[in-house]
Amino acid sequence: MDAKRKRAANPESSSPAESKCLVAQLPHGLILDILSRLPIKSLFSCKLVCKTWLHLISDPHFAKLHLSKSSTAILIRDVCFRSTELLSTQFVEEVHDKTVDVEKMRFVPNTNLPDTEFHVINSCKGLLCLDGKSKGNFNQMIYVCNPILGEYVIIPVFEKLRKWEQYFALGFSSVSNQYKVLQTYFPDRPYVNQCRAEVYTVGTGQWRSIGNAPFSLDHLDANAFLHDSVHWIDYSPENDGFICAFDFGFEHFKRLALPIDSQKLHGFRDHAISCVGVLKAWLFVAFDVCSEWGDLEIWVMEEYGIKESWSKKFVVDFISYQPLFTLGSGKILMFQRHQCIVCYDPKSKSIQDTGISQGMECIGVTAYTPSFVSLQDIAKGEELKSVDEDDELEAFTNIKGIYQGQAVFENGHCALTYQQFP
Amino acid sequence: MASSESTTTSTTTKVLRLKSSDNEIFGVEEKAALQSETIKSLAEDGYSEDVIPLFNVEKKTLAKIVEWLNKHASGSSKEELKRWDADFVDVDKDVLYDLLLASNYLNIEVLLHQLAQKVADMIKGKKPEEIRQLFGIKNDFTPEEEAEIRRENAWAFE
Repeated sequence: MDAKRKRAANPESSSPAESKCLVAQLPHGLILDILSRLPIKSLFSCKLVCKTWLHLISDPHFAKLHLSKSSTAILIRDVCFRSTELLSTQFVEEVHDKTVDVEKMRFVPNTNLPDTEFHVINSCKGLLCLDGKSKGNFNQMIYVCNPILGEYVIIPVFEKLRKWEQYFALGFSSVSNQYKVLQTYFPDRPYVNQCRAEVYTVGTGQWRSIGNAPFSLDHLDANAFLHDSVHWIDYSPENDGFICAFDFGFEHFKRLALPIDSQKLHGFRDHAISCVGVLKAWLFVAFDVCSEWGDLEIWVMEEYGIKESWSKKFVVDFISYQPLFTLGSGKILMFQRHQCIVCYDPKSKSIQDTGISQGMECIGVTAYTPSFVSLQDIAKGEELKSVDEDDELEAFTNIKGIYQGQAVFENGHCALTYQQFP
Repeated sequence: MASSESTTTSTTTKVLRLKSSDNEIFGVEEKAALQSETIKSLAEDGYSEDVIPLFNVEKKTLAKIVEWLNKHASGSSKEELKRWDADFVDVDKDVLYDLLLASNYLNIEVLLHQLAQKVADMIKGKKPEEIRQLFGIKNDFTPEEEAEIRRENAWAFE
């Protein structure tokens, strides 16, 4: 350390004596503001700059701030090879010149993800929801996971009573600041009885019944969380004309009307719903239109929940693309089913391959916001008793970081396992 | 509150006088100056008829700030402002530091965001040593601690 060379005075600097430690002397609020604008990999570098920065970045307050500014990433999984890895590509935009950098990260089992075969259900506010099987007994498990911190929580779904057609979705309530998992199921063979719903609030350790559900959850599109609600398309005839949604704040199901014009004009016979999702802060629905050439119509709901506010924003000359999200430049990233990620420029109406999924055969995608949101902070409700909680805290602040702990709820209803990989 | 200032009269140009810590006085149109929340509240406190003292800002920094305030009150097009702003923040890091502190003190939100983003852009993609060197930050980790953090987060440095 002593051998380390002192920084040579910068000859161009007007006041070399004062130019030392400039940024370090800024108020912490300002440093937080600056750091919160950085992509994940740069933040890992910043953790190594000095102790002050390490502590700032490890703080839950910082995680929140960063999440609010973190740019969206595409999470890609090679479905063909049943890979247990995920490739994250975050789009980092320079504000002043309009270039877009991509930051790639590979999430692997035992370092970032649980060591299990899984499906990605969805992602919400920096966390991932995975559907997997536990290694020992092959019971179905739901994992809520932060791959950046290598943390996850297991939510058991095994019950004595058989449930049919179980579907899950992760959500966030900004009313209570809680992450929740919704499940819908049929208590009997599908459609014999009414569909039911239960909610699991991460940190409470229990599934709660919220009674009957007007419709069942289904497979979720890549980016369908907006205004505390998850959105999906239910293709059953009785739900024709609606987007299904569940509000995690008020814990109720709702229907959002599809654009009435297209219903009137085409009766959906030549308009096939392709997907539902979020572009900027708008809910959108995309239709594959059977015309001579085939078009993709993207409608956005300019005022959420107001059916009169639907407007046909984009018509893309190619079908079978699924819009993912908008970049700052106004370009839209799209997913060509099972194949590749392209970038659509609405001005020139052109499509460009991004090359992100090169070398992958058949892919599944999810939009994901990389974050430092720690499950340790989320799952520390009063009922939660974790073994050696102090040690954990210490491990975190002293950067020893290696621990394995188990947290059991007092009522013994279920156990949460925290794991931070060595 | 109870002051009977004529701030609402939209008649031509009222000029506020801002005084730097080294006693230089800058005349700035009220519309431009009030983009600073700090100046706004000082003006509301009755300083507006007189000189508004800004004890924490030197004249060379205040000159730059005034330039920014004027430009942003000039009704330039969005595109032009964007270009202008990019040039404005493209300065030596010592100047950047002074501007950051000044805009923080003067509470000019838009400018503060631009400057913070500029610093973030400078950090982006750099190695820890490069960041330390750039800002003259002392490494206060022991070699063991540093190795430990690197080992834990090895996957992110691939």
